[in-house]
Amino acid sequence: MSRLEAAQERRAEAGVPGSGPPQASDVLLEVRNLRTYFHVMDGTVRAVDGVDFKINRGGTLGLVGESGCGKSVTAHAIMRLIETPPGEIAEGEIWFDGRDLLTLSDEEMREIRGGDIAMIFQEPMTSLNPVFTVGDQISEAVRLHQKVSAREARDRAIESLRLVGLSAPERRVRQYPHELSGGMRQRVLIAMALSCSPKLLIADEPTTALDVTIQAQILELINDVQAQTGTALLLITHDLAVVAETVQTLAVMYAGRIVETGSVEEVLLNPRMPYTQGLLNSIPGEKKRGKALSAIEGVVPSPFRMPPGCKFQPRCPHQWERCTMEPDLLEVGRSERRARCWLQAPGEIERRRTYDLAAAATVRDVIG
Amino acid sequence: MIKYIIRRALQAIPVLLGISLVTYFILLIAPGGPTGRFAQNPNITAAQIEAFKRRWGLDQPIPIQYCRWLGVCGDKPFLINALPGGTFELAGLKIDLPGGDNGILHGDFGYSITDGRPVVDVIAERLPPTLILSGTAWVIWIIIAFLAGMYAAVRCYSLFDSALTIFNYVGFSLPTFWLGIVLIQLFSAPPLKWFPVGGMWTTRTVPPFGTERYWDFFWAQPFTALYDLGTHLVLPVVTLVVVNIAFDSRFVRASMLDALGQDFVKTARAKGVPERRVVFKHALRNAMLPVVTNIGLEIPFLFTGAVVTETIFSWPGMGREFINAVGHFDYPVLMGILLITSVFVVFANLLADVVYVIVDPRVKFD
Repeated sequence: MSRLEAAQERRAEAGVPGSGPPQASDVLLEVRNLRTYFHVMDGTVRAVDGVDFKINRGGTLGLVGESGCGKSVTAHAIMRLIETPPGEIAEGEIWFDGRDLLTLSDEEMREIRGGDIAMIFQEPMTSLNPVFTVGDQISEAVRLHQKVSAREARDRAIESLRLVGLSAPERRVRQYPHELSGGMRQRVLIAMALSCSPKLLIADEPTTALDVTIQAQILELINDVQAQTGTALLLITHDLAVVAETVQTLAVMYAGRIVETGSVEEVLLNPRMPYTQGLLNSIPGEKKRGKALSAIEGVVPSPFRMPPGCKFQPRCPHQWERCTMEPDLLEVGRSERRARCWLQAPGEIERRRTYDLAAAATVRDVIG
Repeated sequence: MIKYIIRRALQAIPVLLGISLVTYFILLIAPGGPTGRFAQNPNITAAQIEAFKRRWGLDQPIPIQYCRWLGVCGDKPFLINALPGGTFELAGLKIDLPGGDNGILHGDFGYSITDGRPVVDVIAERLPPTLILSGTAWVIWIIIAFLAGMYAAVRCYSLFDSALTIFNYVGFSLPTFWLGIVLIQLFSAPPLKWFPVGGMWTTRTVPPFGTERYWDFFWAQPFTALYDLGTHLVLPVVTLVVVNIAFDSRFVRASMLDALGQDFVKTARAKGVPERRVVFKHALRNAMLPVVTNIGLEIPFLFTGAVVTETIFSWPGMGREFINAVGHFDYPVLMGILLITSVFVVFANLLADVVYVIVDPRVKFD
């Protein structure tokens, strides 16, 4: 029995509250206590170490953080595309549309992939198969999930290419990927993802590999189709400017954990966790012209030597003794606004005031 | 595409000329010669050896010999001899062409110095046995290499993968002559005596392969003939397969592993393609691209044969004929085999390129 099954059984026996499908029917995806480990030569990497979040039907969530913080692994775990071995989904529940994805059979999961949940990737240049035409690749996705003839699938492919704004879609379906530019290929990948009208679209750094002018177009396209089709969106990126324009809610990840969540305005305008503030501070801005770009001191801790307590503590300018204990995701004022930081604990008013001044200065510099 | 193939075929002519020039000079510069075998014979006089050399043109300078072999020099004056010669009939008219009729340019491969037969006849006799042996071995090792390489890639770092690596390492390292002799010792010598020690047919019961009598026998008793051929094939085929499987299976494994690691495989999985189809459609089709080229380049082997294996198992093929000809300094036969080998190599390359364009839409004829 795998560790995941053991954990599921333990939970069922103990009758842990919070197990079972989400109560609210407008919740499309709820990830609970997701842990994904990679067993490698030097030990175990806890790439995702207890992640919780929700996405409502038609809602949008941005998952941001530095490279290696576990955002892509989270997305791959939802799709169950973690290579096992060396990877393993060790614990957690992924409730999607009333079912826990981690308990489904491989065949049931295969039907969900590309059908109810579609995903687009970072590298449009290499994400399409070079030896098949664009039309073949989109039709294949359609025919895997819907009982339609080859002709209908071809029509659907043309239709979805038109939806993503490619000119002359009737001609495009006969073209091979190498005949298209990077931006066009990303449009094709989005068309492929949308061809089966998914309930959730996962976009893993969809604009990172594109040049800046194309980035804006692709983001606008994702925004448009999201609004048009009403599909929910999980957008993964390291670029705060991208999420600011695209999503409603934001989750900031650091070292395999979510460290701050809330609506995109609140998190960006009123960061409650020194890491988020550091991220904002490292964005170049008008007021910082001529000054050296500021970066967060230090480096992400090695996955084999995680510091005790708060994982950000060695790099945190506000760190004190209490940080050697691991903080929970503490509620900040209203619900749905949380930060994993002792500064937000009741009774830390003095320290919080010092921090708030620094954070406000950062936000002013960025927005200013 | 036709234009491309014609252009490549024309480009092959200077290549083949260059190859023939280099091999001819290397062969003739090598110490010893066709008269070497007479040196220890007390019944042959120096005058007889001189006459032998004159008869075969071996007394001429090497460039003249090459010129004659090529057909540029000959009975007719220089260069005119290179033109087409002989008499042709065209619509009832008899046309006398002015050129010569000797040499490669006129399709004349010359005569074997050893036994005086036309080189073309020697090759025609030796080619079918080589095709049978090398072809059988090639088909078997390609199939095994494909299945094993693909399985090892899909289950990489598994027990099977490690076992295949060890088998390949050992097979690749074994000298062919050693493996052949060990197989004969194990399976042809007492007590097992499962397979014949060598040769291509049982001399006591089956007429020589390729003769008219052989084919009479073959059609009269096809199963006996095939069984006899089969038993003679087993050990040399096993030898060739074990030694040659390593390269191709590693190649297939590496290409497949490379293809399986590509982003488009992740895309395929993410759109819900079943794992079997991910492997056999999306990954395999891409892994085939380098493999096809490699397989194309192995085709000349089918015609040139395996020199060492054919010699160990006394297989009457091209490889063994080549070794014989080397021993006797039989220049016309050696040059004939080398030239045909070069032609096959050049055209196998062309074939690989053409197939590559067909299987990979990104590559175009220019």
